[in-house]
Amino acid sequence: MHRLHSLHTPWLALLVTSLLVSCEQGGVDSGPYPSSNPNQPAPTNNSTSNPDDPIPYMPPEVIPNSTVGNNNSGWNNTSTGNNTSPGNNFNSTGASVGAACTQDSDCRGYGGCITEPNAPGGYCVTAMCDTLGCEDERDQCLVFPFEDTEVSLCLKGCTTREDCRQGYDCQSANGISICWIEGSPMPGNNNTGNPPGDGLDGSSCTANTDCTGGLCILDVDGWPQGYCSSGCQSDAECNGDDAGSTCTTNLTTGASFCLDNCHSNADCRTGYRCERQGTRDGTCAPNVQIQPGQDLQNLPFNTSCYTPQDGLVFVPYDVFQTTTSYTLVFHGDFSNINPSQEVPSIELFGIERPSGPDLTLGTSDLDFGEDLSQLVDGLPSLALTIPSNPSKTAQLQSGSHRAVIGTNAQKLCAYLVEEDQPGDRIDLNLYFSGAMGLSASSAPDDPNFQRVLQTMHTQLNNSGIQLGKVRMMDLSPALAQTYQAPDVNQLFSMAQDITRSPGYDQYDALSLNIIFVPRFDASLPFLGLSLGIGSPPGLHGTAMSATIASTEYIYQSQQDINNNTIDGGSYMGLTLVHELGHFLGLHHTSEAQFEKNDPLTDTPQCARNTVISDYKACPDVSNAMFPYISHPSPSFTAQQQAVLKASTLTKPSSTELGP
Amino acid sequence: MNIFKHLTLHISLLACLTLAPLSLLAQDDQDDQDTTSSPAPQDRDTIKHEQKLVWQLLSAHHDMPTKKQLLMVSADPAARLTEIVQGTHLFVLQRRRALLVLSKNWPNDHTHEVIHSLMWDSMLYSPSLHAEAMYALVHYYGDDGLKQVISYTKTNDLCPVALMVLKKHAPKSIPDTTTCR
Repeated sequence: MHRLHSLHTPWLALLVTSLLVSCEQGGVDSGPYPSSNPNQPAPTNNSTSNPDDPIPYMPPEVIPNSTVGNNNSGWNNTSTGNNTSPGNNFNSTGASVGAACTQDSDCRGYGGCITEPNAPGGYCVTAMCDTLGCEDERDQCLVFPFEDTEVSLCLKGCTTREDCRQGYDCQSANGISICWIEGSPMPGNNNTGNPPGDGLDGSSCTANTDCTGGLCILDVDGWPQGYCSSGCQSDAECNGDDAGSTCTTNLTTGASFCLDNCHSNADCRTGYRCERQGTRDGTCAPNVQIQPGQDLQNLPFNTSCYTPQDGLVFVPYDVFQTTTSYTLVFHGDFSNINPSQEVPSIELFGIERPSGPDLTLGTSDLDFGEDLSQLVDGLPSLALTIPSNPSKTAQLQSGSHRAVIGTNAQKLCAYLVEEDQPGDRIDLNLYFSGAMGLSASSAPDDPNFQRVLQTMHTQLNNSGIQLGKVRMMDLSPALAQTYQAPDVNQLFSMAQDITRSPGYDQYDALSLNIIFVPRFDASLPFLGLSLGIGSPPGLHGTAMSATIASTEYIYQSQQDINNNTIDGGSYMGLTLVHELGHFLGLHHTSEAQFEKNDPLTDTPQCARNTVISDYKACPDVSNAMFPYISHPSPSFTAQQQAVLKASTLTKPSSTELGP
Repeated sequence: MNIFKHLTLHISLLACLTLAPLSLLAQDDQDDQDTTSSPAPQDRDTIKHEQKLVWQLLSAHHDMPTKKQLLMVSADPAARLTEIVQGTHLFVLQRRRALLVLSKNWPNDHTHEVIHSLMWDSMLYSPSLHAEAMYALVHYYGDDGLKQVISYTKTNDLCPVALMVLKKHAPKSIPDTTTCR
């Protein structure tokens, strides 16, 4: 048995409350539980999170299963009504410790369920292990101080990560190992026996006891010098400084905890950045930048790699039943080819589906040929979102598929990103060169730059898309120098050299990189540009991983030919909305260089001659994807919005913003 | 599935879909190169109208207009471009593009004067166009243009930009000892 210092864990309060309700309903006294005294109110989150109520520390204690183990426990007693139980709810058929659950009755023994969102998928525990032991001798009995008493719970023991369910890791501390929520310190981790510290949320720490909130997220988990936090269900349960802290939910683990509020990177400790929320202030989170994966197996997606046979690769994949859109991403290793003689090539020839006709490069109502924006050759990555066009929802089927690829890569890796509802939020990673004094620290207070973000925010919001996390990072002096005025030959290498996934999981990886260079080379008079149409989501550190913008224009304010003032910040914002549209898969509505319109059916179209001779006569002149900067408040059509939302780079905002 | 069934179509379709930066380079360099503008007398309203249309063509997200396109909207595109280049009150993006298009398609003495004015005429002095001006000299005015840009490395104001342009567009022409003071 492992005896723990109290934690401000909302799941514990919820669990005990739940067990107490169960107990009270059963009318049986529940010896070790606080409300065995019917006059004592059920515990509340507030009561557990009040830092003014110090809870006497009890040193951790482990009762080996060998001494209070199975043979000496009530586990073999399958009768109900054991009067030492917390209730009359002994469940002989429920799920075992560590299994998924949605309610207490799902769990075996005198069980309880740590429910979502505190534990992803739920987590069965069993109570009273201090006297009954754990059914499985590999499990661990931990005793939690709770209110003025203790609660003992069996948690799933482990030796490796493979012993644990998805979303859980095998974590060790004080000589025991249990399956616990990934990214969330296991109960009692680094418990040194000291009373709670005074570290407010965001302070450095090495143990839970250093923190007012009773939770230290450790350096070893990727939070430099540790990070004091508090378990929470609302901001009121956080223990922030004057700027406050915000209760957030990790989208991967479902764990909720508090993060220190910030205005800019300067408000965060070394090793942390301020992840702003759209145009608002944000929270301090680790300044993680994952090196581009030389080994694509390390991407936060289920990635499979293949060796082409006769230039062909067959990639099997399964689409989940509730998927509303998905993106197939392919990335090749082309170290086998001589760049002076051959260029990288990845071509998606077709997709075999569970039923119905194959999807091909044709132009039928079902095929994706008109929608796919892959270059004929030259780039190492390719992505295709299905449905490739909002009018082609019949492309989407659940079940087993197989994509057929032609490539000259020596190795081709592929992953699938699925979305079970249209996304309406996009996260940005902004990289600054320091030009014009614009940096990660100055950007939140720079009025010109704020007009860039505000314009993006307004224009996207009009189409039902919000800016989510906005991460701001500075380039190293060497990179800033190398790319101070990139020419066309440097654009792709720049995206490769600079962009990094800002975090470990796919929620972080699914974000759009925007690099602000001082200016483009004189040969490239652009405000901004996107390195692709429908670029691979989640893939950073590649030639297609960025949109690039020229900082200098943000600070220009002059007139147009009609004597209207052009504000550079707003102009850049409109430009970046257009480039974001490209990055997420939208084409120009019309073209001036050739006769071509986009494949969507609800976008107005304009003849090439009209585009050239007087585009103000074009019906699509106010569209955000019109090829000219032509309107102060351009819009997206319904189908264009559907493309943006089907892109797996946009995420549903119904999932909370997480660290 | 016949995986090669649509390959030909695929290539022909995609051949016209280029990435944004490449579309600029894909402009038709030979587009009506031998066409010469022969400006006719124009009234003020016509000039103003043409300026607006040329400005529109200079406002693309990714492309610069071709000579042929400019001639579709103006009887004297070089004059309209010059007016935009020298419109110091105008937004710098379109001015830069106007200068590049003018230099590329009308690399004559008149355009050289326009370039010169951006650096030496106090009324038209435009440091934000210096890089484009020097780029134009290097690319469209042969050895003489290159020599001019090299000479700018000896002037305080122009040296950093001249070096930046030379490093990118004529790296072998930079004397070993050249640095800006």
